[in-house]
Amino acid sequence: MKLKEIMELIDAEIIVGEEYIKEMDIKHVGAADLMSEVLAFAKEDSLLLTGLTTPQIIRTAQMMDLAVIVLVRGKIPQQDTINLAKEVGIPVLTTKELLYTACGKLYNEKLESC
Amino acid sequence: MDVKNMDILQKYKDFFKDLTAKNVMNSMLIVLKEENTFKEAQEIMKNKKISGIPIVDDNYQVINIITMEDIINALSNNQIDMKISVKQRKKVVALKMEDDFEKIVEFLSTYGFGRYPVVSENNTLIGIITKQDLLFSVVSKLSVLYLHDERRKEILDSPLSVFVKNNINKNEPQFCYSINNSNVNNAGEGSALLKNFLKEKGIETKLIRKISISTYEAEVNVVIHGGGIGKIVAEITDESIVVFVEDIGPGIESIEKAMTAGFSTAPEYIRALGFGAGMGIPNIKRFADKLIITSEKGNGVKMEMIFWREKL
Repeated sequence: MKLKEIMELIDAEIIVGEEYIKEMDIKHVGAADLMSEVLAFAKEDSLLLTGLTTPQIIRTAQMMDLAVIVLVRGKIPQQDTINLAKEVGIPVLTTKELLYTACGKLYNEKLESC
Repeated sequence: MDVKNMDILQKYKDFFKDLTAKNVMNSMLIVLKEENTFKEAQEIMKNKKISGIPIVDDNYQVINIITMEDIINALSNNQIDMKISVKQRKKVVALKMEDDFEKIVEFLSTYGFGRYPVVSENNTLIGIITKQDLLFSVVSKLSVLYLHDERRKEILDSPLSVFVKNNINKNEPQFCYSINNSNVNNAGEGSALLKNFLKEKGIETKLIRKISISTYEAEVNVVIHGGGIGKIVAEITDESIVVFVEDIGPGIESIEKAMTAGFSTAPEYIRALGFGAGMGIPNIKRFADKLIITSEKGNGVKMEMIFWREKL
């Protein structure tokens, strides 16, 4: 599913990395607030839904080769997180949806777990 | 490991009693069938650097074993292109998966073969034990045994190094990063640099991912538990990539507990940052092909992770 469509579905806005997301296609989605849970994910190029906003979400995404991070409950990350995201080229979005609702909407679209 | 060493192991059979054949064996099995040729066996031995291959029938029952000696004989008898079935079947000495340490040592000292198949209750092949597999299990067990003991230090520097073919010169590594950081928000820089380094060296993407994840978990551990001072050292060889992560922090109280998923000593504020779920070391264990942790209370943690490279 195109990231553009996902963004419409969960009403997400871009915080960092507009240049990366235009043609991005997402097949797998994961959700976690524990970075070690994320580090146990099996698939690269996934979309990560999380409520965490620390720079570690960017590091984790970088190590895991994740495609994009979506923050839930309308969170805006702290400045050092934004800086690191720019530096390593990981796009970050934000949605007003709750984690559960965002997951549910994406699951309905038959996006697979990562 | 000659027979004399086996006697020593025999003395400690109680301590090693949980090392059953199932726990010791290598389950990455390479097998052949009687329809295969000696030539094929020779190729596999050469590529996989092994000296013997079990021969199984359609039901995965071991019916023979082919060794380097058979290859040499086949070569001198001009049989190298023939099927393995020309070799007369013989009764293969096999271990049952529940056989205990004492039994394994007894087998190794009685028969003197290079490898012993391990079979399940219905006699199907499930693994193989070589002296190297036994040695590795013993050493892994010892690193827990020597947890609070000075002698443990030697494990990382001497006998293991031979075992893992670790030729690393720790004074002049190919990659070295000094961790000096007590803020978990900044943890991960070393792993990110290592990732770039491996990319530049043209290492396979899948392997880089496994290494990055493991190193990152280890680096975060140094920051959360290890006092934030330490280093990451990595070396690329033809066969493997070895990553050392060490710190000079307070050490791990119990390696066995630390290896358990869900066990953590991390404080609450670390958990709020998304770490401290007790998944770090279990995650590393999942991604690294070999993991050796040595630690002593008050004297830091040394972690050695080995990732085998795929044959090109």
